[in-house]
Amino acid sequence: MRDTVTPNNIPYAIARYSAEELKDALKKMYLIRKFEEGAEDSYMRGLIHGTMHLSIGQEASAVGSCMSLSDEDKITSTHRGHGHCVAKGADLSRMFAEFFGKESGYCKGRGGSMHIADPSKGNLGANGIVGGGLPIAVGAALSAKRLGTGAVTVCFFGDGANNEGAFHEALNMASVWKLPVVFVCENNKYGMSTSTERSTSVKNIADRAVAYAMPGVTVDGNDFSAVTEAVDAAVERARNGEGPSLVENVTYRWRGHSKSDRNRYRTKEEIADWQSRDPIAAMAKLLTDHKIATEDEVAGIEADATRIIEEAIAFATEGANPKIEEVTRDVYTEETAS
Amino acid sequence: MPTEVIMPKVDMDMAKGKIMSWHIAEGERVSKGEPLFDIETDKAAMEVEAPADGILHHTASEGMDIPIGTPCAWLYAEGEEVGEQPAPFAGQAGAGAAPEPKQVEADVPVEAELELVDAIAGEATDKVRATPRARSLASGAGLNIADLIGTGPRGRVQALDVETEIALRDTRPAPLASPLVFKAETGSLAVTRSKGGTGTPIVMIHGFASDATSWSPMETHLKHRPLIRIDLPGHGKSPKLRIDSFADLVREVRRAFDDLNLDAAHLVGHSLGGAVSIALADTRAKRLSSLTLIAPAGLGPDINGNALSGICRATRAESLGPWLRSLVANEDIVTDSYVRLAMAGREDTNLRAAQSRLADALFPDGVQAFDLRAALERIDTPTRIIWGKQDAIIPWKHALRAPGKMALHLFDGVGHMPQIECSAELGRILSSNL
Repeated sequence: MRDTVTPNNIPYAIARYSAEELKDALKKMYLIRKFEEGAEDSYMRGLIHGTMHLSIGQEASAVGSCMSLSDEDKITSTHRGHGHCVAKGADLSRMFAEFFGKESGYCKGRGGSMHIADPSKGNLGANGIVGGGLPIAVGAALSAKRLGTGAVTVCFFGDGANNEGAFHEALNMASVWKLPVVFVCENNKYGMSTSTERSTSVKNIADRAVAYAMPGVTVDGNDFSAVTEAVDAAVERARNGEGPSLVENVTYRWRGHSKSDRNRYRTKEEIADWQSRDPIAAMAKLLTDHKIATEDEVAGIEADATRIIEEAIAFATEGANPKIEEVTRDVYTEETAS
Repeated sequence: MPTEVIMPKVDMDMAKGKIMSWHIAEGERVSKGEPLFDIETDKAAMEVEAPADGILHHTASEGMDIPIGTPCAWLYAEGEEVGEQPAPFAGQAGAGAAPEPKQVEADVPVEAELELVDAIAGEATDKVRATPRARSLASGAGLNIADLIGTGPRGRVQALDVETEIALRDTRPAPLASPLVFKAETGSLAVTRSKGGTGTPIVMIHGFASDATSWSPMETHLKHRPLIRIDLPGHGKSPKLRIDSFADLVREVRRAFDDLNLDAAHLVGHSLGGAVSIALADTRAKRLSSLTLIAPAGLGPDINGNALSGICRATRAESLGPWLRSLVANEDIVTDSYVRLAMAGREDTNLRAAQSRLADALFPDGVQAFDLRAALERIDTPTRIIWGKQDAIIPWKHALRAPGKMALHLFDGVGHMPQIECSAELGRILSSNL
């Protein structure tokens, strides 16, 4: 793992970002946590259909990886994508409305948890297919390179995807064409119930970068500063035309794979151990330790996030349901629907 | 305001969930995140954690189906007044009073509980094609005509078919659920206590076809502690309850255990009682200081079905003796007078009927139909497992499936009854730890 402390003993993120940017990052982390807790509660009460995959515990990876991106830069996300969506500036009300199946949702209530996209913010969308975002990210990076837009694509994927053929094809092609893409693997230790120890031949997923002649680095994915330092360097490299990189954020999902998970494959002690390394608490401590925010300010940021989520849920609850006769609208193209 | 404990949606297509068991008894305190209850959906069983800190009240009874998103219990703060149940459970018949399904059952007259195989046979005949002579023969022999395969025109059952079945029945060993008349009783389980003893009591649960008296050889070595014995349903002095599944059995024993109102107890279970003890320890961890499992069931599929059915079937000492001797390694300890005494305790045909029925529910076709390995893994109570290596009823190697945190005591030259065969040594093991 990389040393996240600069020669002056100041963590990278503190030296690199303004107080406002850092406080905004903390707020986004709270928003992700509270959004998912709210979604989980609504799901258990039967208000949300389908299933959902929660990233509670992985907030530093989502927010830290998007710090140096503008709305022109793209991301591709995963089935566990709520955090990426929020980090890239999504509207929480429209996200909740989508979960509740309302017309006011991001996909007019027709997509649900795994299909939220927001091109206006550069979010090319979550993806229900493991590794599905990898080829899309390479395509987006190719388009940016050919059009000369200067945009960089950050491609999120999980440890489960690193054994998919798409992963190896995408890394190879991105390297051959020196595309402006950063592959961010959120290694949360388990692909569904299978641990990386049992599924993956290399010790660190970042070791696989060597095979595709690109830099690979493994960082503590619960350490906001460590994540920004690694991903920012990779984004800069991509922007300078030096090609792709692979960053592995080692993190942990506190909740099960999906809402149907019985947690039979890991121990309560292991979960408790990771919960004691809460990335949000660590971020709050980082900001108070370096006098970026007072404890009162942190409490205020958390209260703000709670209020925004409450309002978002209220917005979603009040939204109109799609009409049954319009259920195929925006699902099929006009040509095939007629 | 008490906190609602809701039935969570945990599967995509789930509309309701069944309460399997509460890990915490009513009136007990629970902390947020601790296991609170187990539910069963169409797909799987799952543990649900407490949504908040509090004291548990107004729980939906075990076995009840609760629609998702609706309350199945309430958590009260310390000192908060507990009044009426804040709302009835959703989806229950006559939701106003939220009646427990058990009460409905209790209203049924006892006569209706009679499970007469012969009576059912008479009822079902209308839809079966059979000759009058075949019907008459079948009813005389206590056969259900619907169970017979007809060889006549269009599958009609003929006299010949009935006669063939009667001949077969006489040569074939009776199934575990022999056509004994079982009359279901109601009531709470029999609990007996030793005189004297101080400190944390030892609660003992005997095995299948046994009763509380089976502990007496070991009890002489444990006199320093209060001893509490629970008779399983359909055993010893307990009522012959209708038990259709392992969960039913555990529910009854858990109720008896809860009624003891103990803050702490050492739990000892033998064989089927060991399996029940595992289930109890999984849901009453806070009240147990230790768990001792003697040749417990529930850790693998194998069990000696012939011995179980042989004991259930035996109507006299001559047929019971050989099976009792198979329980132990040294047959000499099962004397003729011991067998006669054991048979005297089994003279009640309804007791034998209840046990046959129980065996058929728990060990169909001589297989342990319940698996408690996952529950055993979850148990953090200090646990020791004791087994005889000449056990001819449940293979001692099931002990090797226990997690590493549990102690194993394996005895050579001992069968399925270590508490009788080497009672002094068991007493020493137990008293050195309790």
